[in-house]
Amino acid sequence: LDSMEADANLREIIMRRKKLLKEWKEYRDFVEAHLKELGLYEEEKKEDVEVIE
Amino acid sequence: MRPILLKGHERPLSQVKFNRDGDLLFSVSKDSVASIWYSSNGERLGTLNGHSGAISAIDIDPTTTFAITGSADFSAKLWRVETGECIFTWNTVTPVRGVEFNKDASKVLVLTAEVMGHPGTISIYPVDFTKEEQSTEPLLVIKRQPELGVFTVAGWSYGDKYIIAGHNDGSISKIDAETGEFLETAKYHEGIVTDLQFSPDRTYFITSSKDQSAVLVDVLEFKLLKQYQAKAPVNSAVITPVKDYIILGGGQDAKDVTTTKSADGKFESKIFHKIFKDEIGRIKGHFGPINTIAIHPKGTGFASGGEDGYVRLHHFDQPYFDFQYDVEKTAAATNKASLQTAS
Repeated sequence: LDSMEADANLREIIMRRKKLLKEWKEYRDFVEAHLKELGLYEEEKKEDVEVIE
Repeated sequence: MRPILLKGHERPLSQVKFNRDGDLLFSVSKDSVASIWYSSNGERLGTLNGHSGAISAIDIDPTTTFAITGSADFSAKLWRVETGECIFTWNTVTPVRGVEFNKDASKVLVLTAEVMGHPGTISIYPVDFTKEEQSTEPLLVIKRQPELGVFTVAGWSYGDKYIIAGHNDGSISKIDAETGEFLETAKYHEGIVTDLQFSPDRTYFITSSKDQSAVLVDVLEFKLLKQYQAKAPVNSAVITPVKDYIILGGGQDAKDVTTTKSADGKFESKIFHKIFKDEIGRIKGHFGPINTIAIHPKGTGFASGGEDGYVRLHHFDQPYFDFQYDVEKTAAATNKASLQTAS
């Protein structure tokens, strides 16, 4: 495998991962919008904890 | 990763489950005893004694006041966690295979096996924790469609809107939790559906199967999101909070393993990237198939219960949380920059 071919393969993998990540984000945005419509969306709760060091 | 071996059961594990806070781990086994463990150090807090047959499932209410167990002794039992006393028993006509409270534990689903000519059902019972006596009259009884296989697993979706069920022919169903109407069915597996666990917001779920795969499915449109190949039968699958991973557990059935080497049975927990589907890591340790996996609600660790009778409790190390693909780092940086611009 020459370095040009390796670069091309790596580029393809990165592009595929970018696409999958984008698709996942779009899916989650769609679902969150649906939950908001139903009044079921819960923001990620920040933990109410006291840290004692 | 620091595994703690929990020795307390004498027979294979059926299910392990954390309470909502994650400070306690509950385990049930074919030895007819349920155990409660501190999840930080693996010390056993106590047991729930009262079933006379294998226990197949357990669930805990959101305040960890009550637990419910389902058993092959034809009953589901309600327990007070603090004292370990059984406060109520629902008797069933066939063995109980699954139990799960809805979100506020005002209802519980009880999945019963299809045996001796009795149809397998999912019954929804009302639960009232202000009194010990409970109603034995179900609010709803869901019978399987004739064209679908027997129910094997079931759980509540977001907003308690739907019951999602898995069948022994590889099908999954979406059922209206109020009316019992079958709204959707799909066949994403070729073998028995062995486990069904939801994402933290219960908008999608993962099912595992003896067909050596697990699938991620959306509740709303019931579409296949991802498929993972494990190269061995999968008995349990979880979606991890915090990180975009899934964990599968299983292995060849003992009768199918021809040598005594545990490596041949593939008795491992496998971590996959949820979105990219790449296998990221394997955790060995069990001497038999993994029957059940539970993820800590805060994503800090997981527990696995095996056919070998042991529960292994794993706390994730920092590298587990730090690891990111380059594209994830870029996406996180872009997201952070856009949030700063917006504010």
